[in-house]
Parts: sequence; C-alpha cells; structure tokens
Amino acid sequence: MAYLTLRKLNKRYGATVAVEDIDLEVAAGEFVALLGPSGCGKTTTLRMIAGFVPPTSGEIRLGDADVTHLPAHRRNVGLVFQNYALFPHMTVRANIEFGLKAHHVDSAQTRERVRSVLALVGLSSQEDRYPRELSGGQQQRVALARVLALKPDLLLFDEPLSNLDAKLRVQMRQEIRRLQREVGVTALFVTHDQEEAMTMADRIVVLDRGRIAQIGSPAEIYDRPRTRFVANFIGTSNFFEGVFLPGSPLGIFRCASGLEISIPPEIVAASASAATLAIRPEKIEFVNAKAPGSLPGAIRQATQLGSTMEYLVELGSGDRVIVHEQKRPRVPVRAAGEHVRIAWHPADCVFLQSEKERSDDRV
Amino acid sequence: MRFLLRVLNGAILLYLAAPIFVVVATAFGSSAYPIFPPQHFTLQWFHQFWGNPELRDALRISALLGSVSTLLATSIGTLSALALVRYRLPGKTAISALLLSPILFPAVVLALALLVAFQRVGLTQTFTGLVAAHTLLITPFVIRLVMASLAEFDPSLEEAAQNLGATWSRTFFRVTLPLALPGILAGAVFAFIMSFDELVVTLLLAGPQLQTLPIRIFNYVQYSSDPSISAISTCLIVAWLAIGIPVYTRFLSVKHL
Repeated sequence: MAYLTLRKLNKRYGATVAVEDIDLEVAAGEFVALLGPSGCGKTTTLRMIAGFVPPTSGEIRLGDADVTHLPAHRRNVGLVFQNYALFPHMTVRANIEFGLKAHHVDSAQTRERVRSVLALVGLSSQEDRYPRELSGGQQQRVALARVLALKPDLLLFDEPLSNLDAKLRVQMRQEIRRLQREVGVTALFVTHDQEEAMTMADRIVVLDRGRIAQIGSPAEIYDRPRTRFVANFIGTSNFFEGVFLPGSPLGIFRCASGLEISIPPEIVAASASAATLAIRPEKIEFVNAKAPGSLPGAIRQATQLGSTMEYLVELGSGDRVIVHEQKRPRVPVRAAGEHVRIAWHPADCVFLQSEKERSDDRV
Repeated sequence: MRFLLRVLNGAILLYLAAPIFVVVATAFGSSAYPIFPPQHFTLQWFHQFWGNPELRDALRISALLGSVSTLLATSIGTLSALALVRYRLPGKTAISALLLSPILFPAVVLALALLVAFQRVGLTQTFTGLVAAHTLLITPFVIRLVMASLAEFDPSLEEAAQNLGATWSRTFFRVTLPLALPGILAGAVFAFIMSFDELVVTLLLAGPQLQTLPIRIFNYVQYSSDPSISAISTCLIVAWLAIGIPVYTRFLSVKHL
C-alpha cells in the first residue's frame, strides 16, 4: 500500500522548471533515497512535501489525506535539516520538548517521550547541554530525536550527513537506518552522494533536471541503468555509441570507430538500430591472448584506487576503455605501456535509452 | 613593531577616555569653576545638583521621554527590520533607504521640518510631540542594529519550528524573538542614549514646561561655569557603568554593532 503519494508534482519559478511531473509512491515503512546532482530538484521536492514550498501543480497525499495545501505546521512530517537547525537558545531537552508543547502533549507524557527518544539515540546523559556543546554527530542525533518524539507519519532527511566527516558519516548511515527500522517510520532521504543512497535505501529515485530518470532498487539502478545520465551518475561506465548489424546470428554492435562488440541476440530484436551500450569497468577482465572474442589493446594509464586498480586501456580501434581490477595476493599490478587483451560477457552489456528527445524538448 | 603598536593603542585609548577622567575629577574639586587637576575634595556640587529642582525635573523628563521613545522605536524598528530582512518586498531597497533617512539629515533641518509640521497639528511644546520627534530620530538606529543581528539568523530555525508543529505566533515568540533579542536590546540601549542626549531637535520643539536635561545643561553653562555640570555628568557615567555595561556585556558584543 502506498503511504506517500506524489502525483504529477510540478514546481516552476517563472520560466525555470525546478520539478517536473514527479510521480512517486512510497510504501509504509520503506526507506527511499532521492538522488541527483545539485539543482536536480530533489530538495525542492522535499520542501514541497514538508510544506515550505507550494507546488505549482500536482498532488501530495499522506495515507488517505491530501496534504497538498496544508500549512507546514499541520503536517505530521518530521524533517531533519542539513545543518540540523537545533534551537541554539534551548537545551537538548527543551529542543525536544518544543514540538511536544506545540502539539499540547501533557507534561507526564512529554517527560516520558523525551526520555525514550534520548535513550533511542543514546544521548540520555546530555539532556541539559546546549547544542553548541555537542559534536556534529550528537547534534545530528538530537535533530533526529526531536522529530521522532512527535511520532511523525513520515521522516524527511535533507542531506543530513554532508556536514560530518567521512568516518562518522558511514557510522551515521547505519545508525539512521537502524532507528528508522526500529521505529518503523516511512522515510525519504535526499542526497547527492550515490554511495549513501546505495548503502541506505530500499529504493532509489534518480532525478535529472527536475524529472525522474529512474526508480529502482540499488542493484537495479547500478546493474540496469536506463539512461546514460543514470549510468554516469551512479558509478563509472564505459559508453559505446553505435548501431546493431542486422542479420548476424550472435548479435553484433558496431561502433563509429569500427569496433565490433558481441551482444546477446535477444537484445538486437528488442532495440532500435542506433543505441548506446554501457559496460561497468569491473565487468571487464584481462584475458589470455588466445581467448575467443577478446580485444587487444595497451594500457595508457594505471591509477591507484586503494583496493582496486583503474586502468585506461586503448584498443586497436582507438576506443579508450576503463577497467577496474581487484588487487590480488602476490599478483603485481599492471603498468602503463603493457599490451593486454580484454573481454567481457555479452550479458553484462547494458543498452541505454536515447536521451535525445529529452534534451530537445528543453530548449 | 609590536611595542610601537601598543603605545599607539594606549595613546588612542587615553585620547578617548581623557575627557571622562577630567569631567569626573573636576566634579570633586572645591573651586567654583572646573579646573584640572582638582584641588580639595568636596561633594558640594552633587548637593547643588540634587538641590536644584529644575535640574531634577529635567532629569525626570529626559528619563521619561527616553523610555517612551525607546519603547516605541524598538517596537517599530524591530518589526521593520524583520520585514526588511525576512520577506521579499517589492521596492525593498527604497523602503530601507527611506526608513534609515533620518540618520542622514542634518538635525537642524529635521528640527525645522518638524517644527513647521507640528505647528500645523498643534504638537509643538507637547510631550507627545517630543516623543514623536525622538522616536523618528532613534528608530533608524534600532532598525540598523536589529537588521545586523538578524542577518546572522538561520532561517531554517523558523522552518524547523513550523515543521515541529509550531504556529506562526509560537514560532515568532519562542524562536525568532529570543534569538533576535541581543540585537533588539542593543538597539534599545543605543536608542535610549540617543534620545537622552538629544539637544538640537528638542531645543526647537520643547516649550518652557518641557526642559530636558541636555537643554537645562546647555542653558546652565551659558551663565554659570560651576562644576555642577561635572557632577551631573559623573552621575550619568556611574549610571552607565552600573546599568549599561552589565547589559552590554551580557547581551551584546561588538559583532552586533
């Protein structure tokens, strides 16, 4: 059952389109990430759901209720801000009590709720401190406790981890997910960090220039990107522009450079003649000289990525391909200049929808 | 180099503070006119000041006038500053310039304009007229100081309050106002001092019944040069030390100015 529903949601500022025809259904208890580069409309979408930005058109439904025109303070939606937005003149306890008082919760229950949310986020001993006396991670927890105390119907996160250092960020990802599961609240998480979206979300909504580019599980988004934008924004990809050659039994894709790539035959039938083919760098492997279907080339550049190596391989056709290879025990890494052969399994190729019509109608 | 800077800083501080030392010192000297350094300690000038009903009356009028004007100016100024900082108003720059314009007018010009206007509506030589004039003079300072403190104010705090279920009024009284308070207090303190100190405009608008302390002092020094004036000044300096400085250090810092 859909808990949060966005229907044909639009936001325009004069002639500028910030959000265009967003349709989204989020199930109860689900954790969904809104992912995209800055300016893609993800924060505007979040602010429309929170009630700070009135939509130009469209509908926002929470459960059975249409909340599109409800003022922000009447929506039971908790928002965790990027800068936490804790009240600096109030203690941790007063920050948490603020919302409970606004909702006229009686004092006995207020005490009990403050106690339980502080225990939930592990800050029971800090209730008399002021926000400025807390670390970034602790402030983050208070911000979370403050909205959880109200038992919100929906939790919204606006890039809440971007002000934390790298180690703490990874720790808070798990912490937020744990709390969200424990409370069982539906959550929408805005981020520009693909890794954050991949590790935290049940489903990812990728936004590109105000529109939804793709919705899917992290695995679907990564392994089966639908557009070049998605394939490029999430992880790294090699792209080949070309045409399918008709009549070949195995399926041949010919690039402009003359390079010919074998593909699963069922794709040929399903696709238009011109297309973009994408292959992830880690799906490509170095093979022996005699391996059938392998392509010869030379390493032009070798880059350390830590546990993996990134090689830039120039093929005989002139195409350049990025290859990621896991480092292995007692195997030396390859060096620039080395002659190699590379190969991949045809099933790992992904064919992308053309984005041409998309860019045309936006001029 | 550092030593030279210290000497220079010391010289500047001395230059700024020297008049205060001289005034305070002469208030305690026994000669009939202010001389420095003073000879023979006495408190007679303080007695003379307190024993002078005209001066005491003037002090009362100035305090009352300053308080009422400050209250009005702080209310108007705070709301104006909020509107100017927070909301996207058409013609915002023009409104802002207009609200701050009394600062730029020479006081005499403003005083003449007010005199002409007040004569038409019968406000000259009235307490109401003086309050109106002082409010006009000091409101721009409140606006400036509150605007400066609001510029640091994070608007997402107000959104957070609304998100937590607070209505407009709860957000204003529990979040916006407490956080803007240092700026508002700075404005109020400044406004009161400005009003208490004002001579030019008051001189033209006040009647014989409404002689403020600056007017009395001004008249007094024209025919008498005894150190009573030094005694009054010393009292004011002490009052500032006792009330102004604690308020200042508690709520205001240089960044708000």
